[in-house]
Parts: sequence; structure tokens; C-alpha cells
Amino acid sequence: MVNNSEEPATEPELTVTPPFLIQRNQQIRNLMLDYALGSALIGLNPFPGTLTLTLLVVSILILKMRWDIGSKWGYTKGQDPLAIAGNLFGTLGAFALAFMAWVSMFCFGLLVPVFSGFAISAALLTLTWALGQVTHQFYASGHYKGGQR
Amino acid sequence: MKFRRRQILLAGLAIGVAATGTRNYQRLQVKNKLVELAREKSQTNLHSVLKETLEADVKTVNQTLEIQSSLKLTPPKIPYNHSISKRLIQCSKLGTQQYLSGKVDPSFNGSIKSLPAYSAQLDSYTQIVSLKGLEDARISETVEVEVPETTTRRTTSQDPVEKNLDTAESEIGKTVTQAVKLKQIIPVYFGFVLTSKTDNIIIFRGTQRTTEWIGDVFLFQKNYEGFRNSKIHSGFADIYKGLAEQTREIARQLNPSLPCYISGHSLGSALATLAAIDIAQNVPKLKDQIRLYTYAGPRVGNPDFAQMHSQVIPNSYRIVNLADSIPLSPPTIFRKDVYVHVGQAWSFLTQYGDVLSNHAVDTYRAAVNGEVETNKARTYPSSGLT
Repeated sequence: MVNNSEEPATEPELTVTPPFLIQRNQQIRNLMLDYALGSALIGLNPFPGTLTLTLLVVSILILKMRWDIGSKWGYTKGQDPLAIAGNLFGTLGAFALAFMAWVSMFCFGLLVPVFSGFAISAALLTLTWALGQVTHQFYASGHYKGGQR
Repeated sequence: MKFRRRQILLAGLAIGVAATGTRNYQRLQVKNKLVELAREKSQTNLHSVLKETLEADVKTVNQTLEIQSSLKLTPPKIPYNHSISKRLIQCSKLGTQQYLSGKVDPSFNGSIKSLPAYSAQLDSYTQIVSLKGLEDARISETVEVEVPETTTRRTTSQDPVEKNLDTAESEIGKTVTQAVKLKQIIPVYFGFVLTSKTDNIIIFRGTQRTTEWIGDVFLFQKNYEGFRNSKIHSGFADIYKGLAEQTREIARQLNPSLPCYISGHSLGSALATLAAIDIAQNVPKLKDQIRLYTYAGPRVGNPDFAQMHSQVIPNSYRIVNLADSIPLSPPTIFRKDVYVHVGQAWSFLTQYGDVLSNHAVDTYRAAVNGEVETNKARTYPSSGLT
């Protein structure tokens, strides 16, 4: 744990984001995009009666994505209550966003029938992306196991 | 490597989108073709389609007549009694007044003797109970109470902004006052039970509360337990469910050697119909003494229920104003459900040109007191209010 009161007063203020953080952020963003594209692709599954299987596969993909994001951050621990609450409500929000994406695409499909088949795909893309962001934010708010951020 | 993975994913997604879009487009084309074909077909079959549409009403009328004529109800063993009918319609009026008195006066104990429609001809009867809801012997209902305005208005400001603010505050205040009103819990009466040395009377009042109107329009049928293929109006069944236990309990206390008249007007008629069969099933010693007189009653169940009902309770009479639209509901054929009446029909004609006037308990009371109701085919005299 970092104790601010014990920090030397002469330590220079950090105003420039370290390059490794920018790189990590880009890596994670690319990771999330890949998983979201994968989910959207699975959401286009044309076989009728296989929606449960589709959702199951996407769930596994999302879990794997969360695991990979955690791995990029070194599975940081010690998140403060705000980060925990953010993770919880962010997850709920991700599902709400996915639902809204599905409704929007479905309604759009009523006007332009060709688009009706993309509703599930859009919802899964949104869900994966939003859950990725939530996970990213959660691990970014933690500390390394060794006690140093 | 990563770029390659992204490329594969994007390519896959593009193929997926293209495939799904093509499939949707093909489906749309097939659907459009089918619509076009159906349109062409309907043009060629226009004559037959038109004929079918025009004859639909006649078909429904014929079906309704067929259902009604095929219904063979057991005729009453005891003739219709005008004198009793006058007493029962008076009691129906008392049932409505009992409910309204309970709604307005929280200290009202349900006694019918204090009500305006009470007359000396009921002096030989003792009111043994008032029928109320379950839950602490009452169902809560809210009554709006006027709240006097006690706040004094401020002097009108000359500042235009403050003036607008005052107006806004005033409007919000009025709206909030309207939205937040004091409520008081009142007892809800459903009827009463009278007993005497000669007979017993169980009365159910008609529709008065909002929840009951909602119950009335629940036209879907549900199975009537204990009798095969019997189905009844689900709204009436749900309302009676809340009264069933206390009705049975009271019926057990009644003298089984005396006639037991069960009656009601409008919704009360439907409740009386259900109460009669319920008592006959659960209090067998009273079964042969039950006489059912219903006024302005809607249809309650399907033909199987009606036939079973008439077998168990043959002494059943249905008094109806031919100009009253409530007894014409629910429709005989409602989607897949079929509704028919129970009881021997005794009708009269009083036409005031309005649904509520033709249906009012006072209209029925005037006709019954004038003994204009009949079970014979004839021209119906208009009785008017007495």
C-alpha cells in the first residue's frame, strides 16, 4: 500500500502518462475489439434453434476476455469500494446497453427488413465491448499483488 | 500476427453480414412474392371472399341461436313467486345502499334497518350477518377527503421574474395538493343474510367498486372445479373466491328446513349464481331449499355449467329487462368461449333510452312491484318508475 503522507516532498509530480500505460491501454482496447468482433460474428449464427448455444459460446468468450484483460493488468487487487461498485453497476449497465442495442436494431429492422437479422449480433457486440470496458476500468483501479501500483 | 487476427475477424464479420443480409433479402423477396400471390388470389376469389365476409354476421347469429336452442335446462319445480321477488329486489336495493353507506359513513355497522330502502315488510327478518371482504373482515378502499386551503397568499410582486416564480409555485402547489390526498380505510360490504321463521335470504349487491368493474370485463373463462367441462367467467369467479368461505360458513348456520333465497342484482346476480351452486355442493342439507332469483344478471358460464347448475338448482329464475344490455353480456360466443344464461327467464320491457337507466335496480324494482315480468311470449308493457 502506498502511504501518501510518507512520500518525499521532493518527488516530481507525474504529469506525463508513462508510455507503458498507453501501450497497455491500446493492447487492451485491441483485445476488446477483437473479442467484440468475435461475439458479433457468432451472433450472426444462421442456424435456427441454436440461440442458447450461441449465448453460451459468447459467455465463454466474454469470460476469456475478462481473464485476458486481468492478465494484462497483472490481476491487480485492493480495489476501493468505488471501483467495486463501478464494476457491479457497469456490468448491469453493459446488459442494459446490449438490450437497447437489440431493441434499436430490431425496431430499425421493422422499417428496413434487411437489418432485422443483425439485432442479436449488435447486442452481443455491445455487450462484449461494454463488459470489456468495465473490466478494464476495474483492474486499472487496483494495486499489484506486491503492494505497489 | 494481431493484425492478421483482426483481418480474419473483420473478414468473417463482413462475410457474416453479407450472408445474413442476403438471407434476409431473399426472405423478404419470398414474402413479397407470397403477398403478391395472395393479393392476386384474393382478386380472383374476390366474390367468394366478399360473400364470406358479408355472411359472417349471419353465421354468428345462427350459431348463437343454435347454442341457445340446444340448451336444455331443468325447469323449476316450484313456481315463480311474485311476492318473494318483490322482497328480494328490495333487498338488492338495500345491498347497494348498504355499500354506499359504509363508504360514506365509517361508523356504519352494516345494519340494513337504518337504510332508506328498508320497509316494514322486512320486520319479520333478523339480519344475522353482513357479507364483507376477507382480510380483517374488510377490503380497503380509499375515499378522497377535501383538504381546506389554509395557506395565505403573499402580496403580488412587481418583479416579473418573481411573478413567474410565484405562478409556477402556485401551480405546483395545486398539482401536489391534488396528487396527495388524505385517505381513509372503509369497510366494503358485499351484501347481507336475513333469517326469519318462514325463510332465509342471502343477498349480493351489484358492481360498485373499480376493481369489480375490472373483474366484470375479464371475459376469459376458467374451469369450474368439480364439474367436468364446466367453465365460468374468470372475473366473477375471482370476486366470488373472496366471499366463498364466509358464505359457506353462514349457510351452515341456516335452518335447512326453510327455503333459502339467494339473490342479487347485476354483479350480485352472478355472485348469487356462483354462491347457489357453491352452497349446494358444500352444504348439502340446504341444497333442496335453495331458490335462486337473479336480476339483470350477465351470463356466467358455458352450456355445461348451465346444465349442471339447473340440475342441481332447478328452482332458479332470471328476471331481465329486455332493454337492458348487461344481461346480453358477455356475448354468447366470445372467441372460443361460449356463454349462456341459467334459470327460467322472466322478462319485462322498460326503455329509458340509456344503458344505466335500463339497468338500474330501481327500474327492476318498479317492474317487479308492478308484476309486469312474465315468462310467456307477449308484448311487454313499459312499467315506469313507481
